[in-house]
Amino acid sequence: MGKTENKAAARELLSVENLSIIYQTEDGTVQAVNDLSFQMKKGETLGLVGETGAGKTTVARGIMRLIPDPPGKLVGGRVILDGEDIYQLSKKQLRSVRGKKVSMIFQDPMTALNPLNKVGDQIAEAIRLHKKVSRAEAAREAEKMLEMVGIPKDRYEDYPMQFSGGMKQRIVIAIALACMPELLIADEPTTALDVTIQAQVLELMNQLKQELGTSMIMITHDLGVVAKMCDRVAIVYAGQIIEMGEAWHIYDDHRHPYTEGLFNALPKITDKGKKLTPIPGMMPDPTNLPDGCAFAPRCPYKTGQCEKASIPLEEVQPGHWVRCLRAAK
Amino acid sequence: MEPILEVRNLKKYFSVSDGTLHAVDDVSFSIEEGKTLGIVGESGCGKSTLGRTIIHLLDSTDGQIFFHGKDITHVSKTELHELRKQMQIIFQDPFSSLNPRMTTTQLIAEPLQNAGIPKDQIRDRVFELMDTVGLASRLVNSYPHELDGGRRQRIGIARALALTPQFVVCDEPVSALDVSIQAQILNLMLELQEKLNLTYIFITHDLSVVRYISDEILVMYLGQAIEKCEADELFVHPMHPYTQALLSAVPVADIHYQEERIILKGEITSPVNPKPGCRFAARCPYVTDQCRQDTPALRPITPGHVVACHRAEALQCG
Repeated sequence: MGKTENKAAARELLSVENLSIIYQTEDGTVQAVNDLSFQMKKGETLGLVGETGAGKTTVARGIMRLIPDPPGKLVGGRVILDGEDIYQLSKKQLRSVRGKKVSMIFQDPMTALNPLNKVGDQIAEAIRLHKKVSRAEAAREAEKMLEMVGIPKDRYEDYPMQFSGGMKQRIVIAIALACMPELLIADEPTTALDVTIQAQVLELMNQLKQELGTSMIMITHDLGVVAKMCDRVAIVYAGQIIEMGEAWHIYDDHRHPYTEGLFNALPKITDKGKKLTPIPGMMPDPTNLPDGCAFAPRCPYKTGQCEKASIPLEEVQPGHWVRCLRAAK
Repeated sequence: MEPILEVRNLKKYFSVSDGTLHAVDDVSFSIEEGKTLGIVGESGCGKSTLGRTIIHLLDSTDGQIFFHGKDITHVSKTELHELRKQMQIIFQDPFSSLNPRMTTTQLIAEPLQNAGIPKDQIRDRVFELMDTVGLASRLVNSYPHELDGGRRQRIGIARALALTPQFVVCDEPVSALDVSIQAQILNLMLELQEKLNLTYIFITHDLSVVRYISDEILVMYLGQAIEKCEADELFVHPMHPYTQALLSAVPVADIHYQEERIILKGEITSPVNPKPGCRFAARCPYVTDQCRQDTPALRPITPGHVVACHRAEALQCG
């Protein structure tokens, strides 16, 4: 287990404030992220959990200022990383922030690597983009990074196709960490991997996080992965955080009906258990979100009040926030 | 009770550029009627190839397949046509397995037309099937791209059940679905099994799903069956070192759960031209010289629990 224990003197690293992002499509305006806010302290790991289309990846891209425009557009809010407003930076400043302060790991390691370059050179290139070092020095550091992620340095000259999926993802992690970023955003980093390989990669990420003190946002749909990795958890539904808190708030004391529904729908490996309870219906159309609570159409506890106006995210106990009228009572 | 399906020493090899890929290598098992056999393993272990070979989507290289006691390993075209009414398959990705230019009703009617069901009966049967799998009748003219993954998979299930098969191979049927929708489809499959007395082979890499749905579970590793027993027994007493590592690697959605994670070292052996010996030997923490030389056979260790490991008894005591 490698959860970060020491948070006593932690300072704020990231503040996402009222982030709103839309995509213009032929079918209308997709409201991908709606007035979403959260803060992170240094050294912390935050899990961003939700189902397909919840807007998790768009949040990550929003933080990196990587929203493809068009069709995407930031329509409100700001992102403060280590005191700097990401959306006020020049292109040059932004390039230096990406990699040095914040790095991202994508789901599919196959598409994140250049198939024509040696893997060692790809790591060295990332180092040289952000540090003024000689080629030889960068190569030496790249060798060190390879060994750190458990790949022998004599494979420096090999090409991506010569590695298995798990090893490729470890190389991607080496590239992301090569510049020792303060914040690592990992978007479903192990979803494409087999479970025994996933265990290796998660173990590695926990270990590196502790050694380097990197903060991390872990985007995933897998509540098992979050339980292993995260200090705090935010549950995302229809582009909004509907519940956020310490890991134990979410796992042992969740208050939002959607969070409850997710846990009830999950088959458990620890016992055969009772019949699964699916969440009826499906996520609302993001081009036509309901006025009130976005989960109301599927909610077993819905009242007339829920559909009238948007529901605020309220603190129900210290550090535990819920967007539900029922929980606030 | 006589098994509905029995597989004896089934092999499926593929010729690849650098030799012969042993995708399914000497697998034997049987299933009783109305039960679910879960087949688990990681990518490339041969679980999908096994399912497809059993229902004749692929020709077997060697071995025998019995259905209701009859040898169906080699069948004529006419016999295969009849067999398809009794054995069906549900695929993983309902999007790529459905023709995007056909509507819900056309898709469900297709297997009925192929089987030569009279036209006037097809319409009623399509509506009956839509009702069975929980598709609202307003969706009759919808195309696959207009439907979400759960509804698309319901069409896949309706197509598989159209000719009232007794036996269905389910190849990762819920892997592409979100957890809230996954639960809907799993429950539907259990209800249909009870109602229609279906026998399932349920192929998946998801160990939580397989425990929920299966009566018995077969674990595969690089083309071979390495362990088989009742579902709960596998999770309580896994015997093969690979099964133990596999189960310990699953992240559990509980922050208080303390597992002893067995992290495997070493790289996966190639299934191309495999050498004799246990295929897991290169990654096994308990490996001995015997493991590197002799291929372990699947043998009973406790009643109803078979394991392919030379050291199964020794590891139980240890």
